[in-house]
Amino acid sequence: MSPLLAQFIAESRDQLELIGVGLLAIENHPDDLDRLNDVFRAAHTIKGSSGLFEIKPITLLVHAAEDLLDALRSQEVRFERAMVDRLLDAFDHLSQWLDEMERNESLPESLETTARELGATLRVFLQGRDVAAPVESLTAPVFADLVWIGQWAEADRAALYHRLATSAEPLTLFRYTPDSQCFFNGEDPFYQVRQLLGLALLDIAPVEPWPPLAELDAYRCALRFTGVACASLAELTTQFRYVPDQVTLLAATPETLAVPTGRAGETVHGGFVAEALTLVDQEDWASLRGITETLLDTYDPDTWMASALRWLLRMLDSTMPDPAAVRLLLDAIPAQQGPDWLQALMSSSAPVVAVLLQRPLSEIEQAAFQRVVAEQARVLDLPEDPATWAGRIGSVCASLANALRYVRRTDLLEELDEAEEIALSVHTAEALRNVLARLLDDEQPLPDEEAPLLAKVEGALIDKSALKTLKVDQTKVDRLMDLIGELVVAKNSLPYLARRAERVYGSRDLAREIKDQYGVINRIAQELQGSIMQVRMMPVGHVFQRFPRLVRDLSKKLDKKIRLVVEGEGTEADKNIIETLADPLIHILRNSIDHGIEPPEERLARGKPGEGQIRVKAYQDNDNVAIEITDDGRGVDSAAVKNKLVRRGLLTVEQADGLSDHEIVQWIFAPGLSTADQISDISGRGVGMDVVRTSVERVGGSVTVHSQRGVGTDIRLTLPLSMAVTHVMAVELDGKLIGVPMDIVVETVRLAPAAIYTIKHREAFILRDRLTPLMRLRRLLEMTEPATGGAALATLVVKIRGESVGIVVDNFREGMEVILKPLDGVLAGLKHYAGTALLGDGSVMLVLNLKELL
Amino acid sequence: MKRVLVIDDATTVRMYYRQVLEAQGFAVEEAGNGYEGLEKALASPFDLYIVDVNMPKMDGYTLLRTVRQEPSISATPAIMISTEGQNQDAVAAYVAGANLYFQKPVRPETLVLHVRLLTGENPP
Repeated sequence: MSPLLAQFIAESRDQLELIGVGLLAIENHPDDLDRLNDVFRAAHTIKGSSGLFEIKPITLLVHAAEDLLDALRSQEVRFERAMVDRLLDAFDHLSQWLDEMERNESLPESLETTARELGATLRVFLQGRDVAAPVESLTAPVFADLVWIGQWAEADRAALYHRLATSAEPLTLFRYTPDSQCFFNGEDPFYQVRQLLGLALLDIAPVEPWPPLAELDAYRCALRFTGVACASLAELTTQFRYVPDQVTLLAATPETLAVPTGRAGETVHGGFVAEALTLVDQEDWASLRGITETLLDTYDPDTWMASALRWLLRMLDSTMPDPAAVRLLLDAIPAQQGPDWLQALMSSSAPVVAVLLQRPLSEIEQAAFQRVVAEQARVLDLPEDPATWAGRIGSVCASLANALRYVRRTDLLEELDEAEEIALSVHTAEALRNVLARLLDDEQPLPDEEAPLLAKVEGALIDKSALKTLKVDQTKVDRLMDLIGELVVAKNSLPYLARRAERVYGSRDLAREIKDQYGVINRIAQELQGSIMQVRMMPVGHVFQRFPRLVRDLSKKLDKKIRLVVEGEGTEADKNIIETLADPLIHILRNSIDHGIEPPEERLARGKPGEGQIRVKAYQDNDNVAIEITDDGRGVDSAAVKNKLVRRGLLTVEQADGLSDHEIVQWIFAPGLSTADQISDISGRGVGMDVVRTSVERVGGSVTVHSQRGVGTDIRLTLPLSMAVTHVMAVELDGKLIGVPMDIVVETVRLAPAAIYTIKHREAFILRDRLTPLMRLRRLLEMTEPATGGAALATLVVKIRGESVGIVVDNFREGMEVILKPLDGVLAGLKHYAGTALLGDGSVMLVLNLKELL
Repeated sequence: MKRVLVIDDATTVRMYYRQVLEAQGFAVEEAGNGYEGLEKALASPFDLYIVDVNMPKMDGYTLLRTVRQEPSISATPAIMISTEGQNQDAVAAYVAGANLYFQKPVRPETLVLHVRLLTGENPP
């Protein structure tokens, strides 16, 4: 994929996120103009960039959205809630299209229709707004007539007419006569026209008859482009902004396309026009249709009359035929000429003819212009110095004249010239000062001090921090991370080397030097690892951003009132971890919304506030990130879970009865367990919580749930800050090293055999007054157990899903940092192992996944 | 193409202006001090001078004062940019003959915009 396209996709996703958040805010505060502007700008950015690529669907859709947003922020249309729904829907599609672009670098053509349809759903809101001329309008017609529209085949025009009738898109006619020298200005008229948004019909013809070939100057542009585009006048104005003087534009109605064509034939049957006009007055469209169809049959299809009648039928096809337009067409029939749609356009209530003006000046440009003018005024106010007088006046006037050219106020140049002449001849700058004063008065009042103005100009440019941010392809960072991981492991071989130097080569000094060097390398490696880890860190809020939308949509669907409270969005964790978090969190939220929070009536009946609350809170907990999702809903029905467990044969009645409510609730993470009676499209078929647990555990995290019937549920995810390097505790088993992830190790104890109790064939021991189950790793791994005699047992106390368990191993070894490589290939099915790690001496250590093993 | 003469004793600064302005379609000439700048200014017409304050041989004030007294070039607009950290008086710059005064660092966008304004170069 081209870097530019990749950049576009990445940037657009960022913008879409902004838009999503912004729209939700707008829904609650429609008057928040700042928000509206933000969203508009974001949409505008996407549209602007999409123009760089051949992705019409995106351009079309964003364009429609942008129009609506623009109308909203300029208060041309009133805010309606449905707008937010449609806009969100449109941007959702856009998001999918971006994914599609990422996969295939292009979009199927069929999407253009989808884009139009979606665009039409947005444009519906724009109907009936006051059509304000977007640029300075003139009342003089710019086209002499519109009969040239008849040059395109009737079928093509009919198709366009039909499309406009359903999509409510704007229609603009254009004629572009490029400057004959345009090629020397680097212009490419043909390309420019082809890039026009919504280009529907196009004709390219020579401005004058072609000269004999020998006289043809290939470096002159001799063409004229005439066409029809489904875009607004303002839109085309922008597109043609570099050649404003060479373009004529006219905002038109779909009826403009209804120019009958064909050979002149018999005149119309007497009485038809009169009868038709009466029917129009009565708005009896059905009868008019009837007589038109009858008459049409009597004409040869390629006559002018037949064409006119076909257009009449097309107009009558629309749900609300426009009587004025129908009349105009009927009036044209006797003479077999016209109708003059241009007259109709000009006389309609909103004259929409315009010639182009250039791009309006930005605020920054305005401010800079004001500054230039103000500074020249300052220069003129300085005490006079005869030696430099002429130069001073000359340079001030040159500066001003140039600045005026830049802001296209060339109308003032003459006045400036005169003032300069006076200043030079009479030695007084009075006239010049007057011109300056007018320029300053012309615009917004200038701030008293220049500093804030300048600050405004500078501030409005690029955000300072943006300049210091570097966007890097994630794979590069991942690669760096891998290399650092290797380095961390490689450095672990130095202690082995030192030992060898001492034992094998008997050099104690060398051993010490190696150890010293090891210390240095170790420190650098750790710092390096720390810094690169920082690079990959991102705030969890990144994932949280989707939640408000989710809660809004679902609660609307379910008729529930839910308030979402998000805390600690700034908490940082490794990018990979955060990405794995997204789906489980959404799943939990869906569950809370669907099953947890009760409908308002039920809540009120239980004495709870009608509005439910879901709180998502992130915080850092030692080396972990903890995320809690708390709702004040009905809680997990432990009796229902128990029932289901027994029915599914997962537990015997006896076993189930022996479990506390809290223990029962933990079973919601078991595969295939759902207490929902019905399958809903919100939280699905209950393939839920087990997936949550699996994906959280895959990145070395854990999940626990606390629930109280009728009060609420609290689900807590704990995830490591980073998954690049794993701390493991090495233990000895049958002469080999085996790793246990350090994050579950609570402590190590040496247990006298006498301290072990056997309860119902299970072993246990007392740890700080608590009865703790005891397992023997050799037994778990189905290895033979040597007689230990009376020696104390090396026991690792681990915490799994909130419960302490003692694990008997042969012996303890050191804790170490390793890069955990998951088992792959045929070994991937071995769930009891989290993976393998390469040790400093080159040997491989297996790392256990105790959660699966127990 | 509008021609801009950059007069500054710091090569980096000249290179920076050159890069920024050439990217926007200006032709840029450089001079390392006021004296050299004056020579170049007299040798061919420019649309704008960008002048540093402190320079060896001839400083920016002297240069501008001389320019404003030399009929063939006196009406050429000039921007004076003072050295970073020094709070030079803008008035001194205007007295000498500058039309705009900035203090370093100047953002590239700001510089380009004002250069466009003072040279009448069309907006991008």
